[in-house]
Amino acid sequence: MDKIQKNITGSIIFIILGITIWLLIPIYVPEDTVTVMGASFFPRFISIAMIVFSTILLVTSIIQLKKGAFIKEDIPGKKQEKVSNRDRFNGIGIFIISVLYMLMINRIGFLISTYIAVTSMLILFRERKIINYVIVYSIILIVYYVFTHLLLVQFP
Amino acid sequence: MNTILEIIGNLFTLQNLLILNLGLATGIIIGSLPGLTATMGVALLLPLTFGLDSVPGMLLLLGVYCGGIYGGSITGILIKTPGTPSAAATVLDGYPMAEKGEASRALDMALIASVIGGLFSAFVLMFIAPIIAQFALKFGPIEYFAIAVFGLTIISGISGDSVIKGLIMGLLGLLVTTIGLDPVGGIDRFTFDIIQLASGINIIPAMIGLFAIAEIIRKAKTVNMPVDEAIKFQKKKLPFKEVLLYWKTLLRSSMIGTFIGAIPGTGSAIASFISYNEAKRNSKDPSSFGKGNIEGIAASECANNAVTGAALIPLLTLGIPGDPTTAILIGALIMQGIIAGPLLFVEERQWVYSIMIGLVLLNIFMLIQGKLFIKAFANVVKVPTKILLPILIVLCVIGSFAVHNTVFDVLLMLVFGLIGYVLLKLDFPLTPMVIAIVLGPLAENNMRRALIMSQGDFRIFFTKPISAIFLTISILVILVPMIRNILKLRDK
Repeated sequence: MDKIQKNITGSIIFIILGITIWLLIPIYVPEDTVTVMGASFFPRFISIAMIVFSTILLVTSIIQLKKGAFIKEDIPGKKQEKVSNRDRFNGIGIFIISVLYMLMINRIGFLISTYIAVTSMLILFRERKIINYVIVYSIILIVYYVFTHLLLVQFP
Repeated sequence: MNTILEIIGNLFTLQNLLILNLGLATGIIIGSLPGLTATMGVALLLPLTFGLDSVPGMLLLLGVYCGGIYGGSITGILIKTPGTPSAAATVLDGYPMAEKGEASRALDMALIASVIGGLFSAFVLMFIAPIIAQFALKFGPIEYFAIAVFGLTIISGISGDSVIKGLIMGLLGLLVTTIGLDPVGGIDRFTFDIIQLASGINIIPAMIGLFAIAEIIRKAKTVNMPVDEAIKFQKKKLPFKEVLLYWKTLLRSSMIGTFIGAIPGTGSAIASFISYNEAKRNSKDPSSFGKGNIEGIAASECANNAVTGAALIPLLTLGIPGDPTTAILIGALIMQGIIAGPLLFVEERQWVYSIMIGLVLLNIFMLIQGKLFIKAFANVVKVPTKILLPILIVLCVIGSFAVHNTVFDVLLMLVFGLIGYVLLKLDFPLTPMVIAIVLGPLAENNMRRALIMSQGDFRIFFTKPISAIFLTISILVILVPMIRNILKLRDK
């Protein structure tokens, strides 16, 4: 995706968000009849401004596109990252593991869920060295000790 | 005088000195790791401050901040990859010096220049902040609203490549602050019957999500990429006499860094590039810049660390964060029950001076740590990202959970992380959003208070000179680039 396409996608997302907020205000922000500027004033102002600015971005991006402007993304001197196909999905993988980790915390406890989560992440990253697993497990144990015994944080 | 001696006495405890040094070392390590910024470091270490008093807690975070900015230069010099964006200008001369076998001298100059810049701005903070705070005591809701709008528009104007995109992100941040109880009328807004949302979005998980999770997701795909080998170096002394040869550059860069740091929305990367260009412009041999001129390192490193103290000026005196890191610091202060602003200088005088003197101490300890452990810090580059990311995720989860001991905050962090990742992919800058999350309540409360005073008449914001000036500048910041763009399109 080049810069103009990114701008068009982003502006459409924000126009939809602005309109959604505008439509949600009567449902989720009850009218305040006491103060001059009620509770809905600020969200209403934000949604209008968001729609206006996103529309400006959309229109200018479309004009740029029509005029054939192409904004090159490469920054001189910046190293191009060559990512293998398998690693391309690491981001989604680490996010999904984090969500599952969050869901596990209250069910099986913080420490066990943490060990399951980090092991899954290391497997996802194709880590083969046992020593690295041991290092991560040890660091987690130290962090857990600091928070529970020194900073008195209560984990499930 | 007695008060200052008392503050120094309270500051020099074993606990404070240990915490301060721990923050510094962690900051230098995080700053050295390419891709991990000082901001991310401060966000990750934030939960450690929950169990500490406010002074050591703040010193820990300031240590990470200062150390992180300096640490970026280490990998910049040794592997041509700046640890933080603020060290990008340092690479231009740092790496060529390392290639010539002068890595040790380059690292020494980076350290000394960082300390000089940091100390300069710490002293400026100490002398300027009380004066601004005294002046700001006279501010009412009209001025505060204008300052909040000014901060937001300046940040939106400078962050990223487009003012409009910055403004949209600022609005998104403001939208986040409207979730929860309305601060004036106490009415539920966008809580969707979720009890945890009644008190609003907690800024700590939001910031950890935006700054750490979004970056971790982005970095995850590069875990198996080979890391460049660091240039090995032998200790070669850089005599202080040689450093003094560049006193003009150091002074100029300190001033540039301090001035830029005090303006909301600018930051250390801009300061270091401007300072580098100024050093090159004023040099007798500008062609040597970029080929291993030690003066280039002095200029960029001095300026980026001079930002650290100066960024605390708007934070402590007005409660306005100048950059993402100070936005997190405001979050830390809120957690400690401290409201940043001019009243701090009246009600919490000892606390403010402890922080300012602490900043001076930090820079002195940074010199000591840098001198003693530079080789150890340089080895940080060997830490594989594969083992780093899972540990960072765990720290993020703990950080979010520990705020209120609830998993809901972890969910918030992940949601903000995903939002941040998508927005980064679309090249929308996250800084205006974060600053808006901090400034939103200040802007809304004061705007509505002012409008209640004026019976809904918006002209009230232009009746006071300070607010009129700030609002006019804000309008210009929005309009000028827009008009320029329209004219450019018409010309094409």
